Formats: sequence, C-alpha cells, structure tokens
Amino acid sequence: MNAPPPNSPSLAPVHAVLDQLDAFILGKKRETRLALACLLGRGHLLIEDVPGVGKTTLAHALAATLGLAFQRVQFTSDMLPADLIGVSIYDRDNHVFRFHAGPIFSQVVLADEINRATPKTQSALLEAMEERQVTLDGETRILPDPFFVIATQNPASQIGTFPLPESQLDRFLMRITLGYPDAAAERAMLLGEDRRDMLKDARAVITHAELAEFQSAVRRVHVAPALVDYVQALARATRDSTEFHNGLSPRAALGLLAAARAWALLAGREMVIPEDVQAVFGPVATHRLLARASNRPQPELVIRLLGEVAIP
Amino acid sequence: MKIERLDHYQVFALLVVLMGLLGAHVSRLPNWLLGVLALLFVWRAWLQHKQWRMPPKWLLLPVVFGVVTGIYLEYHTLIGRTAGVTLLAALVGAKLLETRTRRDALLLVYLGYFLVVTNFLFDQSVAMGLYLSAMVLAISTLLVSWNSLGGWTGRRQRAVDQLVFAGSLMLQAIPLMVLLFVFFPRIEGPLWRLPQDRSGVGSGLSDTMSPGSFSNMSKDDTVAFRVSFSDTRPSQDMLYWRGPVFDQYDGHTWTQASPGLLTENPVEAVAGKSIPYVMTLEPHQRAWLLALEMPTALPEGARMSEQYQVVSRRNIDKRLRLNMQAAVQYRVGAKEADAQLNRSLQLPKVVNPLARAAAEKWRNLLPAERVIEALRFFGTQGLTYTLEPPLYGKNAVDDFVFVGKQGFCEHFAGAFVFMLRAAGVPARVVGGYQGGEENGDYLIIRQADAHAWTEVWLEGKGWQRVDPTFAVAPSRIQEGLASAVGAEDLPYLMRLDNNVIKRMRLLLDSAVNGWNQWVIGYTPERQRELLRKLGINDLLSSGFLAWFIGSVFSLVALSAAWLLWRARPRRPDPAKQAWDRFCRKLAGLGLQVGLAEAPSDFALRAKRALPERASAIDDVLGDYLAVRYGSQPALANLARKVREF
Repeated sequence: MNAPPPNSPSLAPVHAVLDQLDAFILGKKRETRLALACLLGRGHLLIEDVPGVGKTTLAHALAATLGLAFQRVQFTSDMLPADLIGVSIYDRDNHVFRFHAGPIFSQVVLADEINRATPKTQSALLEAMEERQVTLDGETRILPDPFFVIATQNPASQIGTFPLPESQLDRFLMRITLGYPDAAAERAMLLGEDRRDMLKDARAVITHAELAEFQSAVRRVHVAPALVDYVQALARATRDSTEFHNGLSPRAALGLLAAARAWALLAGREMVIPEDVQAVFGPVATHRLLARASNRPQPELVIRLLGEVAIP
Repeated sequence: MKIERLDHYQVFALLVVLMGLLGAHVSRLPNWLLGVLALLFVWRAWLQHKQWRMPPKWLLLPVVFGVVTGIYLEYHTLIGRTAGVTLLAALVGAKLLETRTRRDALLLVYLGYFLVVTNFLFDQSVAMGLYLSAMVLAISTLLVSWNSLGGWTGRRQRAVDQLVFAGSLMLQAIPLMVLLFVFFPRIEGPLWRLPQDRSGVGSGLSDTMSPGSFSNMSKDDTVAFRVSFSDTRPSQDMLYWRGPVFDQYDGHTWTQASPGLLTENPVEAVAGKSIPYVMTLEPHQRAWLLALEMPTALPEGARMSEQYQVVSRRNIDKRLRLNMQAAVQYRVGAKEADAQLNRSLQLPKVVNPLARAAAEKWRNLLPAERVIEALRFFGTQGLTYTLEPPLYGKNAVDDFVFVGKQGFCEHFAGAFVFMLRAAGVPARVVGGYQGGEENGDYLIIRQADAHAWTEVWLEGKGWQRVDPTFAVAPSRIQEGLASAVGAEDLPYLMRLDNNVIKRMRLLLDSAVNGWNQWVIGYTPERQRELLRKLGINDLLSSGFLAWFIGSVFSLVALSAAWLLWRARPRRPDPAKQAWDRFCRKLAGLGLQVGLAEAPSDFALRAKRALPERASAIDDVLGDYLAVRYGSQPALANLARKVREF
C-alpha cells in the first residue's frame, strides 16, 4: 500500500525534506508535514502561536531545505504597501523610472505578525497571494514560482492589531499552531546546536524541478466520487450548523481537497482516502469557521463537527 | 411531552397576526367588544413584557362569562352569522390569556384560519380576497416558523425564508383550489343557511318618484349593474334600462300600482332579432330587476309584471349574474285592458290648473298628434335641463313648466305624463337607467345614470316610449349625462375628461367585473354549463364520481410515487456494501465502527483487538480503500476476501 504510486516521482526527496525539517523543528512531525503539504498544494500558510516556538525557524528551514529564496518581513502598523511590493525610483543617469522590487518578490515570504499592519498593507499582501502577481504603475509583474507565504500572528496580544477579516483568512489554505515542544524534544533542542548556525549550513535536498514535479503530482492524486461526497457532506454540515457564522465556502472545499491530495501524496498514496481529509480538516477549516458564541476560531467545535459527520 | 414555552418574539408575532385577522371584522363587532378585545391584547402583551404569570382560572372564567352574556344580550342568540363570528372573536381574545405553550399557540393559529373563512360570509370582494390571502400567508409563516425550531441540525432559517416557504406552500395549493372550485358541486343559496341579517338598504331607484329622487342620484357614482353584449350592442340612445313603472300620481309623488304578473311574455320584436346580453346586477334590496327595453327572454325565476317590469321573487340581496334578451324595436300592449288604460289616465283633480288647461286644448287632435304637440310644447317652452332644479310648490307641474322652467328628468317625465293624461292620452312614467359607460367589452351603469322617461299608449300601436328629456336635452340621451350638464357637479367618474386616474379606476373596475363574473358569479347553473361543455352531464352521477375520485387518487399516487422515487435511498456502492458487511462481522465480535471513524482507524482498532487476524484485516482494508477511493477497481478481489474472512 505504501509503494510509490506509478504516476508519481519517487518519494525519496520528499522524505529527505521532511527529515531535514524535523531535524530543525524537534517533536513537530505533524506540523512540518502539514506545512509541506500546504506548500505542495500551492496554498499559503498561517501560523498562529505565541513568540518563540519556532515559527520563523520553520519558515526559514522550509526555504533552505527546498532551496528557495527567502525574505522575512516584519509587519508593523506604519508599514505601507510599497514597503512590501517595491517602489519605482527615478534613475537620473538613464532618465527612466527603475523598479526596486520589494521583499514580496521572493519564493518564500515570511510575513511576521501580519495582524500588526494596517488593512491597506494586509490587502496588498493578500492580493498578491491570490493573483500570484503584482501590478504597480500599470505594469503587471509576475511573482516567482513557487510563491509561498507563511504569515504568523500572535493570538495572545490583540491590542493595537488589525485582525484579518474573514474574506482574507479564506486565502490561507491552512492555519496551524506549533505549540510548545514536549519535554524530550525541548531537552534535545536545549542541548543541541544553535538553530541559526544550523540554518546557515543547511543545504537544499530537493531541486526546483523535483519540487515542481511534486506540485503537479499532487493534482494527479485520484479523488473518487465517494470522497467528493464526503467533502461535500462536511461542507454542508458546516453550513447547516448554527454554531458558526458562515459555513465553508466553495473555495474552502476546493482547498480541503487540495490539502487532502497533498497529504495523501506525502503518505505515498495515489488516491485520497477519508483519513487524509480528516487529517487536514482541522487546519483547513478552523480559521474559516468563526464561532457564533466567541466570534473566534474554535478548534474543538470543528473537531466535534468532524466527529458528527458520517463518512458516506 | 415536553412543554415548550413561547418566547417574546413568538408571542408578539402571534398578537400582531391575530390583530390583523380580527381587524377584518372590526366593522361587524360591537364597540364594547372591541374595547374588551383591545384590553385582552394589551393585557397579554403586558404579561409577556413583564414575564408575569397568566391570570388564574377564577379570574378568567368571569371575564369569558361576561363577554358571552354580553354577546347574547346584543344579538339574542349565540349562533348565526354575526353572533357566531362575534363569539369566535371574543373567545380568541380570551384564549390569549391562557396561551403559554406552543400547543396553545398552535390552537390559536388554527382558529386564525377559521377566522379567515368567516370573513367570506360577509364580504366576497376582491379587496377582501387580497387582504385575507395576505393574512393566510402571515399565519402560515407563523406556523412554518414554529415548526422549524430545531437543534443545530435543523435548517437555519431566517424570517424571509419562512415567508418564502409559506408562500410556496400557498402557491402549491392553487391547482387544488382551482380544481375544487371548478368541480366541487356548488350548492344553491348560502352554504349554511345562516340566518341572514339584513344588510343596509341599498342606494338606487326607489319604488316612488318625487321631485329630487333622480337628481339626488346624479351625485352617486356607485355601480348599479354591468352589462356585456355577446354580439351586437345597441346604440347609446337605445339603452333604456327599464325599472319600476309609476302610474299613480297624487299631485306630489308618483307611485307604483301593485300590478299582476303576466304568464307569458307579450313583447314582439319588430325589426331584427332579440339581442342577448349578460347583466351583473349589484344588490339593491328590492324585488325587481332591471332590463333593457323590451325584454323578450327573462332569467330563470324572474317574471314580468303587467307593466312589463321584470320582477323577482325575492329581494335582490346579493350580486346576480343574469342572462337576458331584449328587442330594441318592439311592439307591446296593443290590446291593453281597459282597467290598465283607465289607470293611466287618472289625475288628481285640483292641482296644476294651468298645465291642465293648456293640455285640454289638444283634445281635438288625434292621440298621436297630441303627443307630438306635447313634445313641441316642451321644446318651445324654454325649459332647461339641470342637476339642481329649484324646489317647486303645490302645483309642481305648473311651477316647472311656466315659472321655474328648470328641471331634471323626473320633472320632465312627470310633467309630460300629467299633460298627456290631461289631454286624454294614456301615459305613465318609467324609471330606470339610461346609457352606460363603455369599459372594454362591457358597459358600466352607475346610479348617476338613473333616468325617468314616459310611455304613451296609442290605439293600434300599443305602449310607445317617449322621452321628453330628449326633446329638451338630446345630448343627455345620445352622449350621456356629462355632456348635457356642467361636469363640475357630477361625480368624478362620470365626467368626460379622460385622465389617468379615471382610466385606472376603469381598469380596476374591469378587474372587479372579472372577479364578479368568474368567481362570485360561478353559480350552479354556470357550473352545469361549463361541465356540459366538458362532457359531464351530472356531477353526482356515479360514473363521474368514480372517474373523478379515481383520477384524484391516481394523481396523488403518482405524485407520491414520484416523491418516493426522488427520495429513494441511493443504492450503496458495492464496495461500501462489502465494507459494511465487514463492519457487521466485526460488530459481531464486539467492535462497533464509529460514525465518523475512518476505515484505517477502525482497522487499526480491530487489529489491536484481534491480533491474530491482523493480516486479513489489512487485506480487506487495502482492497476496500483501493476499490472505493482508488482509480483501479478490484472489486471481485475484495468481495472474495470479505467472504473468506
């Protein structure tokens, strides 16, 4: 059952990627897998957690391991869209405007504390995420491929922040939390090498061509009608439920399927089974389902709903 | 059963809808009861607002007893149309004060539907129909909202959705309603034979004619009747709608002798054939009909009097749809009885000496020439036709013809008949309506079209219509009232200017006319007529009943079958069936699969419980996933492995 699918490339590079990621982020196998699945499913990732649990390290490690160009942007309330996208500056020697690309022109962008920026800047980023291109001074510039945004936000301090509206949360394929490591992992980390030094030495274990091949292999993972029934049943349950403000959008259902495909691929399967959907349902659905009672995402409600929908 | 308390929203919605329902009855309920009802509603709303307890039985019972006693004192009965409806309204109000639970509220809602029906016992107009449809929609929405209160698995519904749902329920009922309306055997007369209360005396023509009785009606634009001609329509100056005939004069008032009834129709058509038409007569509370001169065929149940007036057996207390025929060129009464002629020559002895003297000068002429002379006299006397004639004294004819010279049709007709009688020609006044306003394919005749004209009897020719108003104001007859007098004095709809509002009112009138023709006027006769066209001769024949019930049942059966087919359980996928069997087998071993438990999770659990079967379980799981979710089916394999498990 775990044999590599005939129409997919050998999974060895992917496992190498996961192994290297797990060497950086200790004790978070599921989270690193989800992050990789999100990238393979061509989605963007939102990490919500308190500072210091390795959000930046994860983003950095992903970029290094995959051999991708990486930029980190610290979002602040006085940040302008131009700080992100770039700006045209008059070149006196050549008498032309020269475009100076901003940090967004990178393959992996870490948008740190995205909820500290004003909605104007947030929208500039989110538009780029959706369109995978930026239009400035009437000129459209294509962003690099792959283009992967990892945004972080800190749920604990809400003072002076601009929480992302639901429509923009919908653009993130997954939202994950890293959480504190368990005791053994933390001990290993405390005794181990400095992560920053390790990252300096990190090298890519996968080529661009292989990465692109895996991304397209994800789309070839088979989805049976019975599985579509399950995805629809889940979406319908969120829409019929009175616990949430809104049910899952069709875009969310599409995202659920894409994430489940990537998850199946990582498991070395050529078809999606309900287990894959269940594995990614929480990260895909939680941030899109605001609970009526608290007006915030409530992971436990989403898990309960998952347990109430029969697999057709 | 769990008792479901009503919340604020439900109680206030119920109060509002019930107020709307009782509102339709407001004009029929006694004032004191309206006060009591208002009090009960306010009381209930207040209790809800304050979240206080309902009043105890010992307080409520005297209230109910008092109200019922009051109704009995008011009507001296508790049954019948008005008293019954009043009682129902009062009890609805009282029930409010013990409405705590959903069950109580449902009872009130069903009573609400009944309240809707009771309105039709009083009023069957289009406006009432529309209002009550809206009320049915409101109650149904209430009912829908109460039945869609569910847990989180229930469908989330907003008020608008509930309204739309109730509306769609009503729309679905329309075909059945039409079917029942058309085919349900219609019953002659009021359905429940309820004691009729006499509705207010209708306006319209009266049994007597005195100065002012017609000119007063010229202000009244209510519809007297509507007429549609199936083929030819006579010209405007032929449209004389015959009503009561006045042949007795006491010097002030013209009255009707009580004439006998004819056994057969004496009217002979002279030129052309009879013209068929359909008249929809508004109730006027008198026992006669109106008919185009001269009627040759009468509607069922109507008779003709010796004075050719069409009379009915009962007062016209509801709208009637009448099929009639008339000959506009006619001959009638050539051989009139002496008694009738003598009555048409009677005059009071002492009044109007001047007119009498003037007329007696014509006695040396032939009777026909006397009539012509009289018309010439009227034409040359300088008389004017006006809506506001002065009041004349004891010698009203003298005052009118020689002094005031201003009069309306009753003055012209009365004076004309007086003078002809004085000249020895039998004559009488005929009351009715003249003309009518065209609106599409039918005519509207309003009270303001009321008119009086005369009839004279000539040897060998019988009774002939002479309209002295025509001699003075021919435009009244040819073009209608509005062209003969100034428009300002006329009711708005009678004026000539054709503006938007008038056109809209006429459009509305066509809608009302259509309603009257096709809904109210769908009598047992029309039903028989329609069914005959469909080839059904007797609604209650066993053949038709069998056919009807059979087709209704097959229709219901067909739709039920269709619904069942649509909601049929999907035949599960063979792989799923096999997997379900696998799960049942494991259930026999004490392993129950969870509702949302994924196959591999369940298999993992099973392997832990049955380590010795681990490889067989893995086999089944692998094949199941491959068959159901994979792209290359391997069903046969799976089925075999399940069998062998």
